[in-house]
Amino acid sequence: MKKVISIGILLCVFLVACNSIKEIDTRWARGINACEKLEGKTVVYTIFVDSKTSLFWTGFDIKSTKDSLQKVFDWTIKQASENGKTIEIIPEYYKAGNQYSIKKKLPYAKVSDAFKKEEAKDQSKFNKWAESIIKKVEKTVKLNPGQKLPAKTRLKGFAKLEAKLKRKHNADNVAIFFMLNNYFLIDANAVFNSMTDEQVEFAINSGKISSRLASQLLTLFGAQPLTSGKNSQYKIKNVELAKVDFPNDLMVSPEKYLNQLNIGQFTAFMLGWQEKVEPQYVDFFKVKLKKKRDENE
Amino acid sequence: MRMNKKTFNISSIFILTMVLLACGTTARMDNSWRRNFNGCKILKDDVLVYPIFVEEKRGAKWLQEEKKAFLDSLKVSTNWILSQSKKYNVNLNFIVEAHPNAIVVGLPGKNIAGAYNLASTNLGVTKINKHYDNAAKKLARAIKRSKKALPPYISRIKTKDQVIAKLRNNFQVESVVLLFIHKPEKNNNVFFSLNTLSNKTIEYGVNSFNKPSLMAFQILEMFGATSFNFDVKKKRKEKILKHIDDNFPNDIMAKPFQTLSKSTIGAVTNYLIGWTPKINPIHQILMEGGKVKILKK
Repeated sequence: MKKVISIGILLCVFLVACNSIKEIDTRWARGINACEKLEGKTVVYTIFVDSKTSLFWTGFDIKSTKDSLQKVFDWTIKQASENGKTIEIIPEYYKAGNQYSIKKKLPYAKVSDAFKKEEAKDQSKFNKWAESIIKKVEKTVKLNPGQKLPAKTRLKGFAKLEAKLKRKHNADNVAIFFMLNNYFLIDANAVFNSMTDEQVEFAINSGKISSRLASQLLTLFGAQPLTSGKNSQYKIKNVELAKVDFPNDLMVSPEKYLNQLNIGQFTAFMLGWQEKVEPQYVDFFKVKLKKKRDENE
Repeated sequence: MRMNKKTFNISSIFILTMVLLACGTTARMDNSWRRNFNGCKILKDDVLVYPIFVEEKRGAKWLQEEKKAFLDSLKVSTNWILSQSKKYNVNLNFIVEAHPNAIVVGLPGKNIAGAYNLASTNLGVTKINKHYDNAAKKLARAIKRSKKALPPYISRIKTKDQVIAKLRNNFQVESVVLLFIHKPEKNNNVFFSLNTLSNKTIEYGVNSFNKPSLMAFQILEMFGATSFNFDVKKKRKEKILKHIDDNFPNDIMAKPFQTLSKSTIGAVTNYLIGWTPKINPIHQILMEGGKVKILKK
């Protein structure tokens, strides 16, 4: 019981692509993939997915999830402003005719099941799952009259959706969220491909808690979860210092209410809002995947 | 199963605890897991209380005045919770709406004794859940789509969670307290809340007591409160009782049969239902539910 809950609450996987690497430098995540720097204009494209193991999306669930996302966007814009940055977030939601959600069975019963064995092949199934959804979704995104994609490059799937959304909104970044309706079930939230530029990054969310959604959004932009404890998947050097120096940083305390949280100096650096970070925080970049032995400690 | 009233009262609460354990077995109970869990998360904003009157195939039917008497008691219990919530500046509103028709499905295990027998094992709890899923199918016709409901809608109802999903959309509320109300047997009543610690099955209540304090107890329990009648060794039990007597002698979760006008909601219950964000460590003894038996199938 305890274990299941902890997976649901704490598993925020941001280094999926690097599971096989013993030590990771999280600065790799800065300024790469579809969400480079959290600056300028960002389109957040959300797809509500009905999988067989999650619950069916109703109008109320969709509306309340959109409300939570709006809170996240407002909070992020306010935090950017406090850091001297002007950003714009454009929410766009999948809708095809009368269809507000898309049906697609998950490769496992739960998202968290893909991380049980800590094998990259399990997690890569979610890339295929997402890609197959995007192939359908991309066709529903229409460019404005007069807008065209470059004719020479033949884009497909994620890359095409990203290109279309960037062109349509004249945006700098595109964040893709897949939402599962688990209002009484517990599952993991996960960010995929944030440390690689070979596949487009995306997030799968299993709830609508604003602080968790905000944490996912910032992770797509390179922010690093600074959580510790036996349930954390990664071991971050000197992470206790983060709790002392940034007790209300979103990436340190995502369990708090969003209105109690802010973006500290280290997270601001990871998002590209600051060019330098104080030397005492350099250790936070050094992240190791925990071994089984460590988990049992 | 005949017992004098006092004996029965005690055993019913004991059984209630056992049911909770059966739904989420663990070696050591940590009551903080109850917070923000399953369908009824935080007791705030709009909450729908939806009682469904259940009749036996061959037993007495619900009379209009009996239903009215029950709903009056339910109103007393929700008003009492509301009055408590005002003390803590919690924005709360109850919508009490009974299912229009009584349904004929009877009790799981055929009678109250049989229901308690089932509730004492994991397999039995699964059978009870299936029993009420069958009951849910009978509700489908009478739950019409409301004007408030937003698309997409729930079209077919096969399970309890689909009933709740439809009600959430119809009433545009986050939390639904689903109650199956049975007629009492001679000198015998049924009372348990199921799946309050499950992350797989939606929680709901089963009750035959027409007693406002027990209804309030059940609503609070579904939102995370715990009965303080822990299954612990004698020495620890004495300590717990002393702590309750010293700190909140009239807490409803300690004395569910006490009249509501004398009852209060103490610090631990407050914390568990989400009315206060922190708990004073002096109450730790009540946050550890004690050693929990893992029930065998």
